[in-house]
Amino acid sequence: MDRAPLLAYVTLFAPLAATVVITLFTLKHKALSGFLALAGIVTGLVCTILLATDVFAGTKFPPHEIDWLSVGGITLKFGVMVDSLSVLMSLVVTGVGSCIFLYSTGYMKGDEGYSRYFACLSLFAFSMLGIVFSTNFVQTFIFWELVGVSSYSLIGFYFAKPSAVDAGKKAFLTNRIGDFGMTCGILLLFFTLAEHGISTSLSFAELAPIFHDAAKHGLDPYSGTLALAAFLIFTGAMAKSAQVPLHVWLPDAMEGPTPVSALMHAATMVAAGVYLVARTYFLFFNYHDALEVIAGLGAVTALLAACMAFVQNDVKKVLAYSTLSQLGYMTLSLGLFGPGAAMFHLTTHAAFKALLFLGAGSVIHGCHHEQDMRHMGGLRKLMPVTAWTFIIGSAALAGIFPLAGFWSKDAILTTALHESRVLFGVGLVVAFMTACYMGRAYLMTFEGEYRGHAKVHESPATMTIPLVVLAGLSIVAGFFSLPIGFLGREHPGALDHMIVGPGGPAWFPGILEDHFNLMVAAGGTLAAVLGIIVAWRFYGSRAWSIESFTATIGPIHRWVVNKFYFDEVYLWIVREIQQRVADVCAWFEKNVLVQGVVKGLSDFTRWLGYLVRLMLDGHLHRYVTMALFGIVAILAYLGMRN
Amino acid sequence: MPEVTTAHYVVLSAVIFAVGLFGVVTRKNAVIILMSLELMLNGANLAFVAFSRHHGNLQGQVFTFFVIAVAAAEAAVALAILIALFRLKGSVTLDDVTELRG
Amino acid sequence: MEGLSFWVGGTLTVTAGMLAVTRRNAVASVMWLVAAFMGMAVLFFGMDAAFLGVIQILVYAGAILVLFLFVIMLLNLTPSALVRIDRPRAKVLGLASAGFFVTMIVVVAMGSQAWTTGEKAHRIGSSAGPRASDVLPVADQLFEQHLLPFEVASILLLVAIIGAVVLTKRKV
Repeated sequence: MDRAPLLAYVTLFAPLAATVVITLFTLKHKALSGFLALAGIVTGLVCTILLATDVFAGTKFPPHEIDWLSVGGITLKFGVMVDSLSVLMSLVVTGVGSCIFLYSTGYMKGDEGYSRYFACLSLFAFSMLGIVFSTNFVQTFIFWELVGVSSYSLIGFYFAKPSAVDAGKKAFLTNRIGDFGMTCGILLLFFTLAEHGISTSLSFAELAPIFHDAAKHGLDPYSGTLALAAFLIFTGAMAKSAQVPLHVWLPDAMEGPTPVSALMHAATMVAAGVYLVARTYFLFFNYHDALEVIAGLGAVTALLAACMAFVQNDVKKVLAYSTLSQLGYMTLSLGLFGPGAAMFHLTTHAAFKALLFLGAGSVIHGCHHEQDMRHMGGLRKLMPVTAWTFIIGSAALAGIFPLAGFWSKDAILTTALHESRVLFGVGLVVAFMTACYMGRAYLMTFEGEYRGHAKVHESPATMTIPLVVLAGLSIVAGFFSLPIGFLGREHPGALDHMIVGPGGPAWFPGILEDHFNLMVAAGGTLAAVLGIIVAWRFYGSRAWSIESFTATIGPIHRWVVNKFYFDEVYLWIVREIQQRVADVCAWFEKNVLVQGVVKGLSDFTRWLGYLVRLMLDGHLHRYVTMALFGIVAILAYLGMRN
Repeated sequence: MPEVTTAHYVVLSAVIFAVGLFGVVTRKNAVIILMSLELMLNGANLAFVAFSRHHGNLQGQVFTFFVIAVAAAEAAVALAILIALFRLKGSVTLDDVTELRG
Repeated sequence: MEGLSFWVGGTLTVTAGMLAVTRRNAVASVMWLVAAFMGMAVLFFGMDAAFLGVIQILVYAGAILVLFLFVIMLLNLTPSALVRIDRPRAKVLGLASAGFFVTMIVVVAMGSQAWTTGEKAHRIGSSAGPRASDVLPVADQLFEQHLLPFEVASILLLVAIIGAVVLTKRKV
């Protein structure tokens, strides 16, 4: 095996090895378990960095695949795809992952399930890397499900807490809907291609050229069936990346330990949907209708989530809704022919959102598990490291020059302006709101007078070091977009090239034509600064009264506080429709299926058995005679046929 | 006398087989039943040889040879079982052996 | 010549067979069975299957039926012990099925054109190749083409011998 796939396999399987060893041997040895998990993810990080030096220098590797399963004429494959897209994503997962694993060793100290926690976390890393390096839809789907499982086990980590269990269930069930759509999409894709005489192992490397030259392969490039397949696959991404209306699980998922929220529900797992769409962009490119829907969903998500972020008092919930909003941003970009910009924002967002969550975790840890911002305040003097890194993270998220968020948000806004003025406007509004609610969160937590009771202390070094590292990343991650950086079309490792898959130059024209637009940058910055000023007027100087403002917008406020009644609608659907259907099904099953069919069949069989028993009385003669009758019957049949 | 053809042999083998069958169905003594079985096997053997000649090769004869070998083995084991049965029940009448009742 | 062997052997086999399956006395049954097997041997000879005819007499009439005789004497199956419970129903049934069976075979056999023309029936006898009555071609078949089944058959016989011994031993 060549060096590149080998490194990828090591990256992929190191966390799995950690999971297995922890589960089997070291559940009792907490420190060892933590160390093993950390070793696994850092091994992955080192391998990925080695890969990155090759890939970003422009080296191309063919996907490495082995035959995994042959059924009928179909061969399912398992392998690793090493290209700039997967390596970039792997960098995010293992890089942010390493910080968070280290942070967790401090944050989870003294917890009962310390070893279990690290086993689950490593399993998650494995699953996520499986999606990242996947070469085909089937493999992606397997790891997609694995990610769902590990996410479930981590959200419900405090399984003695009913709300955590419910949140885990909610996440799992919501993701089921998306996964079901994704399954249908994959099958539809497979059978549609089979109908056109194209038999594939659903490998990205095989599919990309087919879709690129759709007409040559007898495919209608604007066929509704394929657009539907693409959209169904997107529903999987929609659930994982928490797009409206499947977003309801993400805020609840904050019941898990804070580092989990940071790693999975902010930085990496929820980005899997965006990554999937970017990876399979060849599917979507031709189908402008599907893309328009995607862009619309992204815009709606970004806007609604930003609204909801304003009314949260739980510091983690603010960040959760902010994550939703940013994911909406990325989806918006995906829908507007900007997968490169989306991936760029994904990368920078992973850095500063993980930083913010870890900062929030540090605050929660320092305030003895107080999460309500109304009981905080003035923490800057008590927790200086946390406060300063939080400021950097917030500023990066708000898009302040020259932090990471500025560059990536700018890339998305440029893309939006290129395609649609309306969506560009939405993007600007969201940028303003983002700056505003982050300002609110910072001001409520770190400024003013301390309103809590517990004795606050700064977190230990295992927790502050990752904060500092991530803060550093949040500052520099955006510079990759500078002329030498990723977005430059001439650069061999450029994001445009990543999107189209292995081997080819940018096949799809129109992806991100221009990279930097001064007007856009100015507009974005203006929106962010305005947002900060507004936040300051409300929460810093108290020049404006928040109470009178909410009174003014009354009904809108009520809608936002109730999260636009999404949960209520779902509850109503479950209670009124699903329950009714289930009742009918239950009645049918109990009275018709069980009483009638199942019991009837068993009774009939028993009755038949009694009958046969009467004949089989142990007399050999009877048996012989019966056999004879059988032979005679066969002969009679043969004779008749002649 | 009409010419003897393969069909004659087939019919004859069927008759021999049927005679053995009649014995198996009507008799109760296990030894006699075994003997009837041997007769049935002979009926089958005759058909084998007849077809062997009909097709002009020796496969049927060889198969008959194996049938005889198996028949010998079968007779040895079956008779041994009968002896064991006789020791157990004092009789080899099949009406006395109904342990196979379902 | 062949017509003669067919009718003589066939009549002997069928008559002796019928008598064998209907005798009360088991020893008498065995004796009639010997006669039936002799008839079979005649049929084999008539079909140029001399080797099988010899085997028929040696193995069947000789070895197997002697085994039967031994067992009958060992079990002391006197005619009184063999009194048949009258089974008229079984007899009618058996007769009817056997008759039907033969009828069907006749219908099937006669319905097939190829067997009745008699054209092929003499092919072996008239061909210039080795005559089937020679033991040589049979030996060639057994030891060349079918060596493995032959050996397996010998193992089967060995197993049968050991099995018979084990079954009849009083205490293992």
